[in-house]
Amino acid sequence: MASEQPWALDLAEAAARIAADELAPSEVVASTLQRLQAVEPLLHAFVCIRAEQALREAREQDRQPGGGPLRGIPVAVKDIFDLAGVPTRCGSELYADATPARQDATAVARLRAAGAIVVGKTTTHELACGVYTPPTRNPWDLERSPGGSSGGSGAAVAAGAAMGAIGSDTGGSIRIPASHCGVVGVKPTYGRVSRAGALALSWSLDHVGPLARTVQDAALLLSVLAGPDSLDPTTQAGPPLPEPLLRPDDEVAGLRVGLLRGDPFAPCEPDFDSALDFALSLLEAGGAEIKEIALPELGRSLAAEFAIVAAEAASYHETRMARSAGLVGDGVRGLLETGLLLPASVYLRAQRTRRLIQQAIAAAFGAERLDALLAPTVPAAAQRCDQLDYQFAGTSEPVIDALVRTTAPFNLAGLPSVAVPTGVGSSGLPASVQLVSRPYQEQTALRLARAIERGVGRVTPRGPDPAHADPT
Amino acid sequence: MNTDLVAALAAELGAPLAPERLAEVAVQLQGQLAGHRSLPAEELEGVEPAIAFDPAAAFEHTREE
Repeated sequence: MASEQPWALDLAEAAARIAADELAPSEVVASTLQRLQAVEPLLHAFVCIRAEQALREAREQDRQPGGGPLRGIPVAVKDIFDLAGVPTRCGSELYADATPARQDATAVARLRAAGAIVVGKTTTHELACGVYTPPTRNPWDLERSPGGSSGGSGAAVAAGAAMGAIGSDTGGSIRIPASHCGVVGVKPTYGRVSRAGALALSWSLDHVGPLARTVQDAALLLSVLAGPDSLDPTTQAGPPLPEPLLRPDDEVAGLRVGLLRGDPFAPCEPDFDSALDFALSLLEAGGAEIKEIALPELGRSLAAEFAIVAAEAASYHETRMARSAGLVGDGVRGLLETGLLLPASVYLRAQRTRRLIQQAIAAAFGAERLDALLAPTVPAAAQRCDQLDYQFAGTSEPVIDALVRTTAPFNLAGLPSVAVPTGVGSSGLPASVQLVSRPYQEQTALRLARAIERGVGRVTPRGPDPAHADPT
Repeated sequence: MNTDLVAALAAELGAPLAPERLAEVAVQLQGQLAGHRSLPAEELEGVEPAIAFDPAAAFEHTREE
């Protein structure tokens, strides 16, 4: 830990110091690039690093007073978003010959318009479809995965190689890396942030959002990312976010929170049961009213999620699969090939199940006058890079099923969900809970998440130790 | 799941599968068709799919100023 270094500052604090002329954009970017280059040989979180361009842009900002709320802030972009002048390779040989993007994805353009400086593009699990993100390693334990599919973004932010990052979440791909890497991840309401210029995995389930070290940092990023975009029709419906999205004196007293413990949020590793209890106690201490509820309909989420993703991803990639299926890794290839053959009746059954899940959650919010739900983000700590199954009280469960069963319900429902660290478990790895609020009420989930964060304190490792980097 | 059926279906759809892929895809397709933990049709009676169609969406940018 080198707290005096600019790279170690929280995003919001760095932005405030830059705005107050206490720090120059080039100081922050240079420090972060130095950190990035020190840890990258261990983490493998980036597919490209824009060191020279980022420094040049930062020096230009040094000479220009004023600027947006993210002036001089170094950010990373998952390699499914277009970044002008750089190929978007999506972690797949299918896109190995991609030409440089002609323009930024909308989310990237908004970050840059607010003054953020892109230091590089981060790894993604192949085609944003998976929970391992090889070859990236988890900064808490280099033998473990950072999760996925936005694993590079999670690892980079946790290790201090960027102050914030963007990812995508179709069945947990922001929240799983956030939990595994001990950072905050926000999956906003479906349609809150434009998907234009990003690879699709599943049109009806894809969400774009930020990963950051603190809730305040994530809120700042989200406030820049959100809003209507003529290039993405799903962004037209929602009301604007409040400004500011999160106030320092926002409290949780009086908020009603539904606690989810049963299927599909159990079983969990003991550390994750404890994490949920701890988060619950912090919210109660802050004056929130807790009501334990059961939503057994959510136990149907996994089947619906996998059918919808298989069908929509197969359709999206149909042309490329017909030409070059051999370029796709076996795991993702099987999903795409199966999706092409899936009967319409199975897809529609999944979409009808999705409606039922959405209605069940809405009914619970209404009946109990809830403001939010509290649940484990995932049921277990980061898996080893070669680990295929978790063990829960002697029962084996595939890693992909375990991690997605707790996150997918809120992709299906399109609701905002904020994953926030709850501390470090007995394994030495971070745990996390998620706060889920009503549609377009991101501020409520963020407020509750910050109350937990204030009780937990900092858990981000800002590791690994570059002294252990393999010089080769 | 009959792998010959899978191969024929894929060929008709213009997505021919390599022979070594047939067994895996057959298993996955069987799993999807079996609908493990999905809801049976009778429990979905009266529920519309979560697919919205907006006839105005494509006209958003065609209004004369």
